[in-house]
Amino acid sequence: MKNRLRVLRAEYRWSQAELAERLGVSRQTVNAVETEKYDPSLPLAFKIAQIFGKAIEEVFQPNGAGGPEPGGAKEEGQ
Amino acid sequence: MSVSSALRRDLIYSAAAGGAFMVSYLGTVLAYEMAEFTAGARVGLAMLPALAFLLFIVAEVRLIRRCDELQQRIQLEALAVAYPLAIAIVMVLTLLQKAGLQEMKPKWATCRLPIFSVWRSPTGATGERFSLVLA
Repeated sequence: MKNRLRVLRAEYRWSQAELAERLGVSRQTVNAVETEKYDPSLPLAFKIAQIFGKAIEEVFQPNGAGGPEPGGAKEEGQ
Repeated sequence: MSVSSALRRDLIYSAAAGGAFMVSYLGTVLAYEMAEFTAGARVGLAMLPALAFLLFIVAEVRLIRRCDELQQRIQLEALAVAYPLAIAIVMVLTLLQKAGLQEMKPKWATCRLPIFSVWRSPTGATGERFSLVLA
């Protein structure tokens, strides 16, 4: 799973340690998520998105094509 | 108390309980070899390491509960390696004994102590997967 954590963290000028403190996890966990070595749980992913004031799909995208575009229109008539 | 200092405290408890287990285990083995005890005393002495190990389990569970989700995953993966590995070591030692390596028997009890270290060793390997080493 790809993510924009590094970019968002840079926008907020937070260090990994600062973000980790806000999320209540270790700095190593933030680093592992940021470097895409570890996919966070759903609650942690939501918490990350919430801290940056974004929707979860604006922070995390599935690998490869096929994922919904952030803010894209939903399919109807299903 | 911050999470990290609580985690550090639990790490110290866990290490202390693990150390207490090793000391009590080796002490019991040495005591059996160096002195004669009544049957009741021998059983009582054998329970000492078990009590220390119970403390270790409690400390270890507290430590894992205190960890964040990645640390918990690393610990659980390490346990998934350590548990079968410990069983495999005991089985191999038992088969070696059955194969006739009787000369190992006096050192049998001390041979089993390193199995305890199997508990911790895979943590480094599983942590390496995520480019981090815990503790």
